[in-house]
Amino acid sequence: MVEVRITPVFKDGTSEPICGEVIVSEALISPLGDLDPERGYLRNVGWVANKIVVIKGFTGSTVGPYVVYSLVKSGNSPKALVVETVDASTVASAVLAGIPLYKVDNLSAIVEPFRRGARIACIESGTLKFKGVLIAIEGLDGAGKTSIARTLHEVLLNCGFRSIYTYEPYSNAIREIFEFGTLKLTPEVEALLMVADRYSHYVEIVKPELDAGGIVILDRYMYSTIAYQGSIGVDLEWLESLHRYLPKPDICIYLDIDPELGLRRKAGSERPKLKYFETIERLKRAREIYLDLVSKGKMVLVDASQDLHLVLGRVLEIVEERLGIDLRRCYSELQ
Amino acid sequence: MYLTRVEERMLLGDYGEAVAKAMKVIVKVGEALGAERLIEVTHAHVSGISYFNIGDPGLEFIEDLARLGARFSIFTTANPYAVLVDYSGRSLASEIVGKQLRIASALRTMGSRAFTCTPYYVRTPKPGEHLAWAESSAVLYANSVIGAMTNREPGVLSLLAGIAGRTYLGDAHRGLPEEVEYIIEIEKPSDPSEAGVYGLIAGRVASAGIALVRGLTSMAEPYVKEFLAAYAIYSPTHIAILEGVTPGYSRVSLARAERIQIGRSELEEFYGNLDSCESPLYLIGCPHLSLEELEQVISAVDSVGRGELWVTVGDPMPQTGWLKRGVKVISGGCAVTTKLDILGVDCVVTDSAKALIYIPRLAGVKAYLTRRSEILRRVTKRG
Repeated sequence: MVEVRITPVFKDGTSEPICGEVIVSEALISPLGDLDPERGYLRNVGWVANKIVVIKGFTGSTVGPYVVYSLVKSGNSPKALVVETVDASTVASAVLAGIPLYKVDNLSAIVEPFRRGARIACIESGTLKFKGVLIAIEGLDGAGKTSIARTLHEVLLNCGFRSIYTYEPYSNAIREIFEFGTLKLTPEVEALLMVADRYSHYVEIVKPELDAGGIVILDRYMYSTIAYQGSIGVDLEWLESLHRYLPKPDICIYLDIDPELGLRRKAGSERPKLKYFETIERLKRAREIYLDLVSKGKMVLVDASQDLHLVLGRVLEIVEERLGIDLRRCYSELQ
Repeated sequence: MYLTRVEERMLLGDYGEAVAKAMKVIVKVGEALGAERLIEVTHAHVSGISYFNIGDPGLEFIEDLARLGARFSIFTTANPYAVLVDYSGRSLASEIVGKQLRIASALRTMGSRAFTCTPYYVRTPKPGEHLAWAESSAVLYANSVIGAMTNREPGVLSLLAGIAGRTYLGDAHRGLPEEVEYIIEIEKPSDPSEAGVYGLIAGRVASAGIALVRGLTSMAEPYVKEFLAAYAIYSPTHIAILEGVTPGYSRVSLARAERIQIGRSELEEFYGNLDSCESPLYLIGCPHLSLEELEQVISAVDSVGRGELWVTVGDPMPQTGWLKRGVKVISGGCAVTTKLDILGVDCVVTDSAKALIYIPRLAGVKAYLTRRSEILRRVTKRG
């Protein structure tokens, strides 16, 4: 986890943590000319509204405070400003605009992880901490998980975030046991195999990315095991306890679909995949467990019976809201 | 930060929203810079009022403040604004002129007494007086020549200090520094423009600390003024200790100072070939002239025969007419912070080292340096 010490200069009662997307410039910014307050755009750096803006400092003391002030008037206020060089003019800018201001001694400590793609950070108790983000996409087969997860990943990449898309089951050995193995698979054995796969996936793929401040998009995670193995009678509490040493997802989206519609959608797909599970009755029970998890606040439900672009729109909205980032602009560029 | 009871009430809004806003910014800036308390000031001088410099954001901010009922609680002056007169029959777009006049009008509503970069001609502070001045050339003049005390305030802070009557207690308000890091020795300048060039070179070589300057003792005021205005471009300090000029200069320790000599041979490269500027705008008055200097200039020009001569002075400046013998005497205007390219100016010939540096950056045209006598010789109609 990348953590950089920063000193508050002006907070004005803003409550921490302040979390959001970070944008960084190693250059001194001359507000008049570099910063367009009407559009909230910082030349060569990006959009500043609702972001944690990290810059070396401001030059051209006369106008700076006025430009920053008008940034706020046009509704483009950043969440926080982090600078390496603090002078009277910079402080005056922050105070006038009511933007929390922090000082970082060593700007490159923020620049380096940013260069490697880390974008989401929280400011809290004297540190700026880059956060990895775990996003799990859950749902029955045919709900559109893979399409949604892959597109979300592409949108994030297009917006400059460090992001990977990955899925479960992870290891080929586990897949083979399920599909072709001779091992007698009781529901509990199935669950243990799935969870073992998940732990090794986490250690080898997920955790290193999170530590580097990346966004990991998981096509299925812990709630799949709880729903699927739960649907064939395995104790739910036990299933949950198997995941004690794995982190809960930061955002978990459940794509809800009627099992029959899901199966009809799947019929068009060529890949014969884990047919083992796919009987309507079991899928209905799995859906009930999913819905129960939604009601407990562990997942956010998105109606996946709609057109894919509507589903995607809702998913982007949820991610934007939870992470305090803006994806719409990058998404429309991708179209 | 320690605040008096009155200051606390000001901060809490007992004296109105504008005062509270001003106090909030000043206190936070002071805290961030490590000041333990505020200091009452008697004169604020506001910079950053040219529409070309602060644009719509600055206009909005100043008008918002005036609308909020902000009024200067102490004697307050402001920098000059963009030149609004025509150049060879061409003038700025009426939208720009209108917005510039709105900035000036909002400042007048708040109580600004003058528009000038030489506020010490409007109201000369006493030695030891605490000020909140922003214009760098005026800050250096106040601290280094008069012996008054002012931080080098950012424009907006001087504006707010005018409202609150206070600023943060920075180093400048603690009196002369105990020691200097440089001793700069210059050869005798033979003209104020040369003093300005010495200022440029000195400010650049001594940009990392406070310097004592030898060679300006008993020089006439325009020399000192030009030196300091140019010095402040590259030096971020609030003062230059001028031997024989700065009150109390002899108390400053020179024990650990690095000695730097600047000779006449270094001046010449700053004086360009005036022939490269075919139809120049001649400019005198950066910083603004004193009344005495203005009279000297006017009396030296029989009538302007070639080119156009602008002489910039403060507003108000008594006894100045609009056009004297063809000289455009511009009160309250600053050519440097005016986009001269959109007025159709090709190039400027000036006697100011400060203008030489800033005109290409801010006014958007080339500038050439020459001596004042040469400008007057060139513009005067012969026979």
